[in-house]
Amino acid sequence: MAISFSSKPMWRAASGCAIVLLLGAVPPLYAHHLEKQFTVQTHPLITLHNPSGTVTVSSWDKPEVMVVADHGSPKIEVDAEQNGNRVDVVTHLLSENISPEELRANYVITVPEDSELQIHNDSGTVGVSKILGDMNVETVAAGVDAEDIGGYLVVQTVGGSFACMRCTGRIEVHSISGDVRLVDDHSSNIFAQTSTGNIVLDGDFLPNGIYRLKNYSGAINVQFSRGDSFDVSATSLYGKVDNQAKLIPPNHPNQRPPRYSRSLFGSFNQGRAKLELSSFNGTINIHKRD
Amino acid sequence: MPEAEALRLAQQGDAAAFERIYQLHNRRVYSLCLRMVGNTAEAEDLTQEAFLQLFRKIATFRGESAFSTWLHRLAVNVVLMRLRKKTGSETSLEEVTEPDEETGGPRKDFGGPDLGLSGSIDRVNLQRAIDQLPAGYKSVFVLHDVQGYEHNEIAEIMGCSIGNSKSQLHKARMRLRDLLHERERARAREEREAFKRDEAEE
Amino acid sequence: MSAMNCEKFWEFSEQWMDGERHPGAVSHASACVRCKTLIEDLESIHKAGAALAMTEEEPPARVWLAIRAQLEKERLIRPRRTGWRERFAAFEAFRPALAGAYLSLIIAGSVALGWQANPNHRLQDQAEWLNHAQATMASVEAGFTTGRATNVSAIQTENSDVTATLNKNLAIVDNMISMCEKSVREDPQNEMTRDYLYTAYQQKADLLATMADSEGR
Repeated sequence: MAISFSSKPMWRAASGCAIVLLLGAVPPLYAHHLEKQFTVQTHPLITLHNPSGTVTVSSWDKPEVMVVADHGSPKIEVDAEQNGNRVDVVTHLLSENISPEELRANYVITVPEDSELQIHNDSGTVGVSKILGDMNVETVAAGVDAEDIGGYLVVQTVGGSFACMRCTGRIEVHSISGDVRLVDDHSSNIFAQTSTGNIVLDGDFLPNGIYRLKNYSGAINVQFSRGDSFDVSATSLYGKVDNQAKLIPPNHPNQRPPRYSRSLFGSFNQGRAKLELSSFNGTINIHKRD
Repeated sequence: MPEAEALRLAQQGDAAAFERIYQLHNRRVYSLCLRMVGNTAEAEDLTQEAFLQLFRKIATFRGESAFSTWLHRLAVNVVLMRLRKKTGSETSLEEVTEPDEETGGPRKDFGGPDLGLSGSIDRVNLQRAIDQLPAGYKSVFVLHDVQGYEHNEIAEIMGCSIGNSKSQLHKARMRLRDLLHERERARAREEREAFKRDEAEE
Repeated sequence: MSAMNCEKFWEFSEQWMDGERHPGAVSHASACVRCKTLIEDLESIHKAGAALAMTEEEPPARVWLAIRAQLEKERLIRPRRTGWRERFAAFEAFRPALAGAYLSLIIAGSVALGWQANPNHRLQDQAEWLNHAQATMASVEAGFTTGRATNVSAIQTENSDVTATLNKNLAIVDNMISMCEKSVREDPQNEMTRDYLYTAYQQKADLLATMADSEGR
């Protein structure tokens, strides 16, 4: 069949060829892709060890674990295998010389909502949502974002930040320089410790709840509403405490005569929850929500 | 190896530590399973399942309760899951007792013997009587009177109300009383018949 | 109040066993042998149940063998962690030494915390505690530095985010320790400063251990 160059503009064909050439010249973003699916029983345990990358874990209503992994370098290998009701996901290093970009592997993992998770991801990010089982997350520089989770969540990070929204389980977070944000949570037990990071607590105070926030420097910001009820002890050894809550002055069992600290003890409304705030030289703010 | 050390090493996958934890707790877990299900084969199976679940989850143990308490609760849950499977799909405590027990309550034998259970209750007879209880009564009695759980803990474990747990416990004890009385009467009958046989032979 | 009969008493027997003594039930039990016997029987059953817990049976050896076989199959029992950390055997030798020093530090810290219960310890004793803790921390750090000098392999694994974060946070923790030590010297009786210092030591030991892992990658 003869090709007509008169009715179809040449530039269309030429640009089409150019696009094809360009696509061929640009290397694929992720050359290596793994997708594996496992059938599990109730309360499966999923572990992940990854040096660097984005890790996203969410839930679905199937009794299955789906692992999708992408990485660009042949110098690492991603692997997922099942042992009983446990799925282990690991990134293996295959080369002695490897750059930070080559080290990176990204994971999207979908699990039953009653799963337990153990995640170790040194750098990048970790996002977890809609999981009700217990979780243990360890990072060095990776930030951790949790949303709509229940269960007992323990996060240990060196410099990564931690944010938890609408979480209902027990929360324990340890960081050195990362910030901690706890927003819209409905948890009865929170422990957050960071050395130089800031801590924000802006959620519900449940009756008999215990909320302990501790830092070395930086700010601890607690938001409360008129209807909240808590017993508070707040001490900043060399910083200050800025309080807007009208507290009933104690008769407080834990009151210690301050020496060099700036301290505050008292009950707000009936004092149902327990709030313990401490800082070495940072500022503690107990502010009313607008 | 002390338990705390074994726990720490087991969280790192140390084989000897796993074995040590098993040695420390296997009797208690097995005895609980045996009391709840009444036969050794099933108790062995449940013990195995409880420890496997424990070892799979051991890395998530936070120390917020005593380790033995954590293990014990896990074992109880394993047993209850098995009992529930045996009676059908997820059943509540109310559904694993016999219907006539629920409606009729304990046998009210007002005309029955004035004599109480003679002396201290024999361990073997008590275990036999426990084995004859309906599943729901047995669970509550073993958890409360034998294992020492409080009603609020039982209610949480079994998914029932505290009032229901108390009621089931009382019915369990009343049923055990009837069973133990029957056992005593049967033994007394056997003794009388044996005596008559001996006299006849003489 | 009308006199209680046996049927009514039986209805109250559950509460009786729960510790509630209805006055009518009490007076009925004192007069009625049958109902008094009922209560005695129920209490005997309760006690016998508790005594049952004292006798525990041991499962046969095959139970452990089956558990162990399954754990090995699931690779929950393994001699060494799989994955990227296991490649650096030199650090496996180094880490027990670090762990030992860390343990000393924890012991020192625990002793120190024990002192919180008794604020009347002499200032001299508290100064000794601080010196001991500092010496322990120094040995932990020396062990780490030696490890780095002799065990760093030619492996060029670079996770720059991780390295930078660890170094930055080590500086943060060192600064914290320095400030806390100063505070403890100024006010040895202040439990809170000692608590912060102990936390800082613990963070440093954890950080050094993490750095040792990271060096090996």
